[in-house]
Amino acid sequence: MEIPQGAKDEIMERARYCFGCGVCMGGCPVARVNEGFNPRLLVRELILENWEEVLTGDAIWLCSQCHLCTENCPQGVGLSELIVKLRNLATSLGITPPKSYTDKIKLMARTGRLALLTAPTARARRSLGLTEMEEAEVKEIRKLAKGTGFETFLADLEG
Amino acid sequence: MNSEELRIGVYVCHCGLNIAAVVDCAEVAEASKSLPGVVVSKDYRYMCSDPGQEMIKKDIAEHDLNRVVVAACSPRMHEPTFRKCVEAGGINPFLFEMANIREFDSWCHHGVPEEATEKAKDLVAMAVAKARYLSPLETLEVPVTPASLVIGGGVAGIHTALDLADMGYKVYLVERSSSIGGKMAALDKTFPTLDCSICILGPKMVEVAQHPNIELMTYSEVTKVEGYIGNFHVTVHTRPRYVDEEQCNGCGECASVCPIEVPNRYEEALGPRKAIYVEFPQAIPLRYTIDRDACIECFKCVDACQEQGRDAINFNMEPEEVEIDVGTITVATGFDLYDPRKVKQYGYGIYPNVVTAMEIERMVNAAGPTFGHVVRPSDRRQPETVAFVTCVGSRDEKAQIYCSGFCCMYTLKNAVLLKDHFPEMDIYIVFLDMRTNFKGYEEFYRRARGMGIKFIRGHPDEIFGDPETGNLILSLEDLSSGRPIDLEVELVVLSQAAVPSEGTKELSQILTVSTDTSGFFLESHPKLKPMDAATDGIYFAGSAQGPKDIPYSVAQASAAASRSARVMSHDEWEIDPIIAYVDPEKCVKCGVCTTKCPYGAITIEEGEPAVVTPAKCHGCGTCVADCPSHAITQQHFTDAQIMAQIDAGLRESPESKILGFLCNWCSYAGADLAGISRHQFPTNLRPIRVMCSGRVKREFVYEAFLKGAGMVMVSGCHFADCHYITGNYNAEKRIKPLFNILERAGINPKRLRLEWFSAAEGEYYARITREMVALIEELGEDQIRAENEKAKPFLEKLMRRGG
Repeated sequence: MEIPQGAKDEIMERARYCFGCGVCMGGCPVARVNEGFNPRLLVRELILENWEEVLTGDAIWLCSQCHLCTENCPQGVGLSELIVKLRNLATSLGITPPKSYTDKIKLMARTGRLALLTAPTARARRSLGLTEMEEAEVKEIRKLAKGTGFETFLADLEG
Repeated sequence: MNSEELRIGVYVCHCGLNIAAVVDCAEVAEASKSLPGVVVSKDYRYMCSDPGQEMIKKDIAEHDLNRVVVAACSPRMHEPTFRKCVEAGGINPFLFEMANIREFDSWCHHGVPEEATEKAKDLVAMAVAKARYLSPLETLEVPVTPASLVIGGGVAGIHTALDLADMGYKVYLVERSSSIGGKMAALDKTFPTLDCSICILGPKMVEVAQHPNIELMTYSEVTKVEGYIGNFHVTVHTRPRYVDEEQCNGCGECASVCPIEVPNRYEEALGPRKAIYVEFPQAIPLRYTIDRDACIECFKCVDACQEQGRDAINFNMEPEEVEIDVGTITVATGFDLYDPRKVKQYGYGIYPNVVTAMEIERMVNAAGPTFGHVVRPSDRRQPETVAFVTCVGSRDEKAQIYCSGFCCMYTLKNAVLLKDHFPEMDIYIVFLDMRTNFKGYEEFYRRARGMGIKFIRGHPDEIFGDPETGNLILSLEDLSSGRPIDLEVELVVLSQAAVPSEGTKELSQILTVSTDTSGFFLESHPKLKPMDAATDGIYFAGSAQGPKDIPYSVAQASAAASRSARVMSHDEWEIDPIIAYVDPEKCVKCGVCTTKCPYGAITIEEGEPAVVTPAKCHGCGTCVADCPSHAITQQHFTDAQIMAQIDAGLRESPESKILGFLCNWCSYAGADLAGISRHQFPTNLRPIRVMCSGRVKREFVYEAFLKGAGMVMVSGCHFADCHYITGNYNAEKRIKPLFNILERAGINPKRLRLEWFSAAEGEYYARITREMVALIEELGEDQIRAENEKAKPFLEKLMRRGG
């Protein structure tokens, strides 16, 4: 796999300062429910230059982007932003995210939401006295996708 | 007891209400009137106040007093005050004794005024009993030679020498090798600033050579030291250079014609030098030396020198012995680097591409043997991948158990230099803990990470060499991921431990100072006297006392200079008279005392009785307690004085009493703290202050039980905290067997306590006192009396036998 040096440098610029304290892992809500996810080891792999493993693995797609690690990191690694960069790099290299992730993307493109508004959810809302959910502006989302180049990616996914 | 008529004055202080609120001071003063020898006894609100002191002075004159006892606060507080007072009143300051009825009584016995008052009477009786046996003592004064010896010419020795010389003192700087400069002269850069090592050290070296107050003695070693603080007589042995220092001007024509090349020690043997050489171009003094082991005596150098119009080379030069007199000595002999050959797992000496940190240091230096190129010894090629391994010989019970302290930083420095010179180089640092705890150090570590140096936490269990490629494979666990990995690199650099420099043991014997368990010189106190040897007038600077980096060494060097100047700034130095002396009539010349003295203050010549050098004695009293023939006396803490205190402390209902021996520095101070902190506990303990637990003789314990004591406590500092280095170890050795002996005699061994507590452990002292009182109550006075009665013949026999 040919990874552009510029992309590597940009990602490593802050990642290099990691000294492995594990604050990111300690506070990570995803790690609590998914044993396979360890943000500290993700940075570790980058420092040891195991790029292919990181980019083709599931870990970068599991992050929920809660930014807790970024807030708490004593060395300013900025893990949340770093993961976004890794996702973009992976995508640009033609790596497809795991199906669970692409299903979400497709759902969003189709409905404008990451979770379906099901009948039980609607009932629950009514019982709590909440308003009816409105349909999302799918058109707007499509427009955004077009403007950002996300459309091409979607087209590939939808094959 | 002295033959003169005893005329003792007793003064009981109220300390406002600090004492008087609990203790009936008037009653104590009244009761003291009946003690033998007491001619006047008074109580007063503040004895330490001017009127209080005036009262004592007036009474000394009016009642012709020859002893004074003040019952007030702790002697650790006001003993010096009252000593001065009685001296002003016309009697010797050592004819004064204090009873501690504040910290030891009123402050820790609230709510039991009657018992506290009874205790105060006993404490005064004990002080009066001791006072009856006091002798006048004179403070000794020894002259001070205003010159100093500095041993070792590395960065520490250089700074001590320059500081002292700048203060105007004559300094002899003795260096073993042919040039000063030490390890620092061989370093490329210094962390964390990366300034050039020789560029900052060189000017200091030149300053040493040019300073009118410094006499530089290179190629020389100290072979003999006699005397004591202010008056050391030192013999320095100078090896022949075979080049006259006066005539040689360092031109180097001799070396250029010399046909012999041998490995250069200064270059870690990576480059050659001639048989006639200077260690390095900036050497001070810049004078050549002939290595006679390598020289073939072709005498080309002689011709070359004569062609320059000089005649410096002298093959007939002889070793010289010079004797000098100095007032103080600073030991700055530095450290050596651990030889990694001693641990096979690192492959040093087996695989050529495993090198040491010092070898890299020389390689990366532009003036070094490879002119700044870092190459693999096997193929002289620049490696693409390098792994640094830390803790080589450090933190390893098979090598050195301690952390060498500066290796993390020099490893970072070398890695940063390599990365800076060769950005493409792939650099790993394999480390266990990264210790970067001084100004600018953590920032330097961060800088190293930012440069892309890769850090792997772990340690190779073994380094294998690949014979085909010359590469090395480090088998280790990446502790961050928990995975075993085989790290293949082209060059491995080992960060060696710092070990005591060669000859440390011999020098410690010459100086009669101690070394620690790691072999470095041992400081007198780890916190408050970190530069002082236990022997007065001898100080440490730099790594001789334990591994140190450059700023720390320089700081300690200046501190050692100030310690030295503190002595040399006086014409005479006062020595405390509370010291030991040997009665030559009684001495059987067994030599036990010489082995017990931690200061080498006692010497014994063949067939002669032992002799104490007063200026070397610190007055712990350990030799006194261990002398099998009772030939040694500790002034101001004599056997007779202590026995009198024991008897007085147990004069009434002894079965309920605890007789406690407390060392002056830790346990007495800890007991003081119990009072200061107002911990409350029963009044049963009768304390006796000794300078060190090592002073406590077995006979003191026997005497206490013979006099009916309920319990005996012997207490001192925690191990390694002893004010006299090893006094408490000797106390333990002597007192521990007593548990068995007492049991054989019929005494419940629980009635003896051996306790170690610090000046900070007042609460502990209160607790053990309560425990001891509880035991006395549990056993009952009848049982104690019966045990003591039963043990009496046996103990008396032991007393007659002398312990």
